[in-house]
Amino acid sequence: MRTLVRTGLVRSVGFMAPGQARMVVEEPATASAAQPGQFLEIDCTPAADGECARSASLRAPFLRRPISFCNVDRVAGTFTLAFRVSGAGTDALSRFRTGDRLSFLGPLGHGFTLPATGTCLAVGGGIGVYPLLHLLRAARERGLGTAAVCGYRSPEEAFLLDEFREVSDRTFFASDSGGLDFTGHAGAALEAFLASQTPAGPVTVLTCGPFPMMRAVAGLCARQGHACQVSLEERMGCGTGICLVCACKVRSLERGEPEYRRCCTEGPVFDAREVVWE
Amino acid sequence: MSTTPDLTVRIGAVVLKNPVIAASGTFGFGREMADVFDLSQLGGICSKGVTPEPRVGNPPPRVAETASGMLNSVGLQNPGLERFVSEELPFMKSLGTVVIANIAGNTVEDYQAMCRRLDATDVDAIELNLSCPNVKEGCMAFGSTPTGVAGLVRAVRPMTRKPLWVKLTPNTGDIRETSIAAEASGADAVSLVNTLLGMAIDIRTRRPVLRNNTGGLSGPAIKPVALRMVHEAYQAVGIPIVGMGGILTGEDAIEFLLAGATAVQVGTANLVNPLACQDIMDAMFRYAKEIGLERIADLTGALRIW
Repeated sequence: MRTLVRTGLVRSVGFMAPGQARMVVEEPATASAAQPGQFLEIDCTPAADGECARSASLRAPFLRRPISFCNVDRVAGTFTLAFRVSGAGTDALSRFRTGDRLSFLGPLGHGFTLPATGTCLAVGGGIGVYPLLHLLRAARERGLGTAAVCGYRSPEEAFLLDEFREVSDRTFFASDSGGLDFTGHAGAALEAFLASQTPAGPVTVLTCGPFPMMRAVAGLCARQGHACQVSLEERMGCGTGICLVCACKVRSLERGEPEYRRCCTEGPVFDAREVVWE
Repeated sequence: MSTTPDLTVRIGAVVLKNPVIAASGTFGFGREMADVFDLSQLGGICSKGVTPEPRVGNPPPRVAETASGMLNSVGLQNPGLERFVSEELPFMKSLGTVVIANIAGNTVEDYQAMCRRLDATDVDAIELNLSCPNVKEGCMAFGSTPTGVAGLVRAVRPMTRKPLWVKLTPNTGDIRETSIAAEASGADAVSLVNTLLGMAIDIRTRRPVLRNNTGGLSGPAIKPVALRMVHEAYQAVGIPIVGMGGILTGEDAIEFLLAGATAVQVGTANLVNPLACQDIMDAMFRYAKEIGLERIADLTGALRIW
């Protein structure tokens, strides 16, 4: 049997930028199993010791929240979750304290697929940059080239820049309001970056962020002949594939007909050629 | 003298190991949970709603969180009856528990044809879904009035010897009348209740959160309503009642038995706790042992009304 429900120990909780929270959780089995682009379904109320809080509790918020791995430290047996506080769930999560117990399901979902050779070029917009840090670290451990193009609203709201520099051969930071390497969104930044750089070997673009940005990234990759994987987002229920609410419209490369697939199970990462960009 | 409580219950001819059934639409066809816990422990598994032809379902967003619950508007996404029979049903039957096929259609003829087809399979029971609020035609349109329920069940009854459970909607005038109509037309049991029709609104966009505008409310938010309906129906019909609506814990399940249910279905709880059915079965067993109950079936309708 597979252990789906786990409880971790909260090591620290803090804010790295206004409204952008970061939580470090210790649970060695989860840290070992986590693949880039995968996520956990988090119970936003602290768990009672040794049991799933949900089975005995009616506390709000009712549903778990899907949050992807931002960083993983296998040696320490910890992982980092980063999230924007944007509603009741993430607000409750940001109020956890060191020593609280966090109940979660996972790791869940089909994550990014690292290429065998060449360069992993991660393109993130806003909170979409979070899972890319874990991705680039894993790519570097495999001996692949790494580059990061990250877009933020403003330099004040830019986070994790040093962390991205640490795991990337090259970084290119963009801001809608100027003040960083490029002015504009991450899709436009990618175009400028590729025009000025020749990354080593074949380029695989891996992207996460707002839908219009990812559409621009996927379009550019199609024109320039780069492989592209996109991490989609859809409101989720269970995260385990049983409720069918997180329907993503994709076009099977074999069958060609648009169909709904589960963002939580077949996704969240899809080949950009499969995605129906509407 | 301490005895081991007997958890067995009977829904007509169907014998369940215990009263806990995984509810339709919250457990797929059992595949996703088959390596999470031992599904042979379950009283039963009810399939995702199956329609004559495959259905892609409604556009997203299909879910909105609510206070103590959620709205969904999946819209019966399923592979269709033929693939259910050839691929999903054999898998479900291999799990070692009772398998109930939940079926939904647009027309009386849809339900008739599906029952005829399922009659030739080894499914243990058929649950007629007359209560899905998320599709344009059929379904809840049949279940919301006594004449609709009676007409459909009467037309379907001769098509199969399989036990027929009729899943009714709370979106009706009087659950007693639709339950009585089901019983009088040949149903073997009623499943009470499906989701309550509801809505959520985003005040920034001024649009409904659900792309379908409305959806079905489930979870603990509806438990008091569901309990009251099971209690009312129990006083009105003689056939067994399968109770559901917001069951999260063993205590919740016991409440449904006391109100008049013979078995329960656990739905939304599976979404937040994949081990919900197991936890509920364990808690019911502990409760029965604690109070020295010999048979869990003795709890059905044992409510001491004021």
